Amino acid sequence: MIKRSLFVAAALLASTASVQAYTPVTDARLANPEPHNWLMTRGNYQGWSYSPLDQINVRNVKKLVPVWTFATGKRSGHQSPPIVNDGYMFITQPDNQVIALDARTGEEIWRFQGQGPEEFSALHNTNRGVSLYDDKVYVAMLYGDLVALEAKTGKVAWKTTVANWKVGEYMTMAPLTVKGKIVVGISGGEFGVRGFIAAYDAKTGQQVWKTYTIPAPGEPGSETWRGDDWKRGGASAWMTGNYDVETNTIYWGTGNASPWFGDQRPGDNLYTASTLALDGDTGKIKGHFQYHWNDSWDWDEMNAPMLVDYNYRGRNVRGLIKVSRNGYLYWLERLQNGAIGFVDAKPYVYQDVFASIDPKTGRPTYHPDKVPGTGKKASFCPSLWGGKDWPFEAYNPKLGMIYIPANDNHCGFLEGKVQEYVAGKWWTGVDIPDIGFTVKKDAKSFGEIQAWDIGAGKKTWTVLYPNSMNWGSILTTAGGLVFNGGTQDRMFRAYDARTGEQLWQIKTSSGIIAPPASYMIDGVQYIAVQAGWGVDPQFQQGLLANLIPGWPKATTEGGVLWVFALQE
Amino acid sequence: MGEHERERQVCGCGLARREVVLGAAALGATIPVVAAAADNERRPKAGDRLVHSMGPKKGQPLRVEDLPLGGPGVLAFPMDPSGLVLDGSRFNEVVAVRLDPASLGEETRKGAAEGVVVYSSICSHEACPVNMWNDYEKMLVCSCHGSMFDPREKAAVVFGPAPRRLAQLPVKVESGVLVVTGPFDGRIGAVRAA
Repeated sequence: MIKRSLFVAAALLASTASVQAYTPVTDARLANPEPHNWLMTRGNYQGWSYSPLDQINVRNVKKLVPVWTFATGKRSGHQSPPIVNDGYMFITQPDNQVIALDARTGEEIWRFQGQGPEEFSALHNTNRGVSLYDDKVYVAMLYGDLVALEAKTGKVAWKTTVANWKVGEYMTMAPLTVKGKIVVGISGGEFGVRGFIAAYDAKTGQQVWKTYTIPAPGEPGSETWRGDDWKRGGASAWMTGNYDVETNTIYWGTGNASPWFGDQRPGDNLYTASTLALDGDTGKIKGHFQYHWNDSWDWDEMNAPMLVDYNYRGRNVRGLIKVSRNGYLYWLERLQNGAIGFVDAKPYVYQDVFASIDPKTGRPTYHPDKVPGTGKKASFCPSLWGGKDWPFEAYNPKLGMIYIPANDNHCGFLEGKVQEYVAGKWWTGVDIPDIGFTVKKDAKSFGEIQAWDIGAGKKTWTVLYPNSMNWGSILTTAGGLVFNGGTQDRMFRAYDARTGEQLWQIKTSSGIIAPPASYMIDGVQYIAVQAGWGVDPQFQQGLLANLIPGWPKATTEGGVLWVFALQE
Repeated sequence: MGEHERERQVCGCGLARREVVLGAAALGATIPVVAAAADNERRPKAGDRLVHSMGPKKGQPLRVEDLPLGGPGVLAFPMDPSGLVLDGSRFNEVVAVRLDPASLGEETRKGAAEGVVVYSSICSHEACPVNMWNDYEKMLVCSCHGSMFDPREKAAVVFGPAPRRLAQLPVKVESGVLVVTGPFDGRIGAVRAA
């Protein structure tokens, strides 16, 4: 009897959930997403992390209150934004979980739990979100599968294996949907992988193309490698790319070279620490820009640049803006043939490695004493986590400003050794306990939000966090606001995008390292973000607690989605 | 996924796959007949010897003199009496450390021999290899998130996100070679849904 009642209840729930129609996602919608939805990780193909909604604005943001919350049931780092399509919301968590919610009420519609191999080990147990196409939801499993789920039910439509976890390949990024294809890239730069980006047919799961981020012998760029170094040369592709609809060009970032010490793989090592321009149909490499050659600092340049058109020094540029892990802010140009041109670069945090940057090509020269090597210890700033790690910067087109979640006043030191390669194991040339991390003695702050006027090439305001790094992605809105979490004190804050004045804050359940998103239903604008501390911010926090007296050793874990709206 | 697979996920406490299948069959459980897992996947048990899992001595017996007193540790796999190295499962890899016997806690000493302690090298946090060494603090270190374990005290967690200690593998020394005297004394790997 009890069993029967339960069954009836379950059936009712399912039917309630299924009455809501699902709006198919098309190429046209992805190219011009409606302001009331959040159809992809960074809101649009340009990667702006910008919402055109302005119901919540500088005048009323003080009235922002939580309207519902949702416990995800997971620990570890929550790093995915809510993806919203006409009432449906999709969030992902560590341990290969996807949840569909009613974006208005917070009712759970379905839940998908991926099952990985028992022996899989996770360097970064996280996930950065889903992509959408037609009536399906796409998610990358940590252990290397790409899975297509029916958006209304969560049932598996197809799955395919992309990455081989036994050699250290895994996936954490949100896929990118491009013209009926689902594009993904692999993680694994600490395990001696050869990175790649691959596209799969959205309907069938068949692979359409696969492009290695390191050329094989004979291919263009292979001359920048010695012998067989390219086979384990790194250049993972662990963050979602951006897309230029007009030229059908995908811009995708690549990670550190492997192992970490450049003298173990002489040469420029293309295309490590680069942005690649790929043909959307074929994956063919049309252009590239390498931020630093022969990487020796574990400075991944995995984030794709934002597509921003700007006027700089009197010239209109079809541009790219890249906030690099190496501590420099780059103004680049999208050329029609797919090549990437260099316009300018300026440090946005203290950086002591570059001696100069070629004004024509953007190629840096290095201070030799700042380049760690095998048996050669060197210190450098910023540390391997960079001026900014993966969290997203944002661009506000109404103001022509970008907002950077930066970290300053931290440095690192490394000394390399030759490590025996064992498939699937850490292979960087340095053991974890020997990774040097320091902070400046007189530092008054660490985490920051920086606002830059892109056309003027100038920083206009800065928010400083004296007691925390900033690991939070930024959301900016047409309401003139900047939203940011990222601090270990569990706060979520709103600032005036013009001035940096803090207008609102709330203490949440855990540290926020997931990107916020905004959407509107029935005339109500919502701001939504997952709290859930873990992974690198947690590790770095432990290091800081050893260095700075009184620094909190830990921030509580556990995922909760928070949804805010204006108090009526 | 067969019943025996689920059993292994709940507890990897040293039960061989074959043993679990036989046990379930004896209880009358209706399970499909499955091919026995490769023999080199079974967990270590009494009588297995340890061999180097990497480096120039890979595959050779692990001898006490191979271990520097006071660390760092050396990675090893068990080898069954027939000479089969049990490297079919990464959950079989262990780390052996040689310490001053007087520095070992009472419980730890029960599974130690000549100051050598052997632990699972699979971290309880995210199942990463515990194959690194903090020479300043003389602690075992996980290669993913830096969790530290005290080899003198049953590999208790002293730093980092790991939720529990590493399982100890009890050993004795025979003619200078490390020999297993029983199964792991705890769970192997991380506990998670996926």
